Amino acid sequence: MVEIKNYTKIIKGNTVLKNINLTLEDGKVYGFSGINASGKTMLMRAICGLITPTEGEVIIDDQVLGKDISFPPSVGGLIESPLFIDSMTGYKNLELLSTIKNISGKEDIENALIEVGLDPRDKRKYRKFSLGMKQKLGIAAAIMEHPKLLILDEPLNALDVEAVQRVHNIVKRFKEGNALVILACHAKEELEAMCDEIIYIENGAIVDGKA
Amino acid sequence: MKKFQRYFGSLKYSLKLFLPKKLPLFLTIALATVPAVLVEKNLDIIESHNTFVQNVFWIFQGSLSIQPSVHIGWIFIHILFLFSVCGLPARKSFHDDSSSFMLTGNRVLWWLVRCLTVWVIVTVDYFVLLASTFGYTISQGKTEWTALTRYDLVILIIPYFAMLTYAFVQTALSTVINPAVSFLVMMIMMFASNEIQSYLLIMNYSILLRNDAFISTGLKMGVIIPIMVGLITLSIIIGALVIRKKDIIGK
Repeated sequence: MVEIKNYTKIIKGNTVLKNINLTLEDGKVYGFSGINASGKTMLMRAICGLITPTEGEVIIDDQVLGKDISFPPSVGGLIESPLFIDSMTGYKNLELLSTIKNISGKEDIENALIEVGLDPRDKRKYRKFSLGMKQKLGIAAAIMEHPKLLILDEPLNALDVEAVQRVHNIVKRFKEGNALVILACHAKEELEAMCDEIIYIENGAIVDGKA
Repeated sequence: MKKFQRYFGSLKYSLKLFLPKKLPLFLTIALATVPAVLVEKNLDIIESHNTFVQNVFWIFQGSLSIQPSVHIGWIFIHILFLFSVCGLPARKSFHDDSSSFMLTGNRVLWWLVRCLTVWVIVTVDYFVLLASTFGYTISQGKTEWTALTRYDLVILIIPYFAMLTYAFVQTALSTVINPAVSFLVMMIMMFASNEIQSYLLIMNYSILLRNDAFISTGLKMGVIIPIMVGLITLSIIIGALVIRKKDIIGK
């Protein structure tokens, strides 16, 4: 479970997140909706521990981010553009990332790639990937370690119809596995199809949704 | 045990990420070392029957403070060393490393892993330089060995620690300013150090002709060694304090 309490973030005099209060439960899918620069991505960064609060706190399973833990213990994230090594294949990029925690084996990596619609045996280097393939690889990286908290920022960007359906299936699978899934997406219909609850963000504040 | 595995995994990741990219630089250092030696000896190849340690001295001798002069070999080697750790601790920007941050699970340990990576890169740089110098020495027929003297140890060890100091200072600076700018700051420091002998201009520490082991008016080793240890420690601590609170935000 993720609890966000009185979270405010000010960057160079701009209040990018204003007094956010939110409780997000495991086994549910939440959608963040809002125009560009509304604060969706910033809120996702806050939950991931990538930014530190000016005020307030984020609590992940009773542990305070920035005090008890630096980052959520089991998180997979796709935030903004995925970034990998140009000279390596998709598989090799994921294999390299997997050396950190060393909990994903060859099978996990291959399954993640297949699930997003990529070929684990594809010899093409990342620099040759299309935008859609890069996006798929980013999603594969986020899911390969079966995280309990999955955060996907605009996961449907550059994806074809078949790939969009794959993302739907991934979100459903994670929900059924009792993971907490957070999505941001501009396409309202897609959010409504995937999410149990949509949270609207405007100018860094929640304007509707669970508080 | 799990935490230790994660930190070890993070180190493996960091080394696999950065070391292969440095291979062209390691090769350049290997190729640049011998010309650096020869340039310092005014291309006097015929009389180049110096020992291995004496050849290392040529690379790092620099100039006396009373008449500083530009030593291209010294400058080029330092540029290569500093360039090899430019772009650390994070790729391009910290945003690029958000995945490795989260997967490592702890900001300070992420930073320490990157510090270890810096140490490995500088050590490999220096090993390549020594190996290249050794190869050159052997090629000149100088194969006899004598026991290392105190001066030999100064020649071999002090430049290594000086390079480590510069690398850690640059890496710590890169946590607050752009890595390219931190590299530029070190370049300015380098040229200023060449001109002026001072404890404050830290790149004097790798100019052996300004060391009191070789010249009475040189910088005292009893001062520069603690300064180098202090600077390395301070760089690691300051970097950790910055990383603890740093916002990882996209471009």
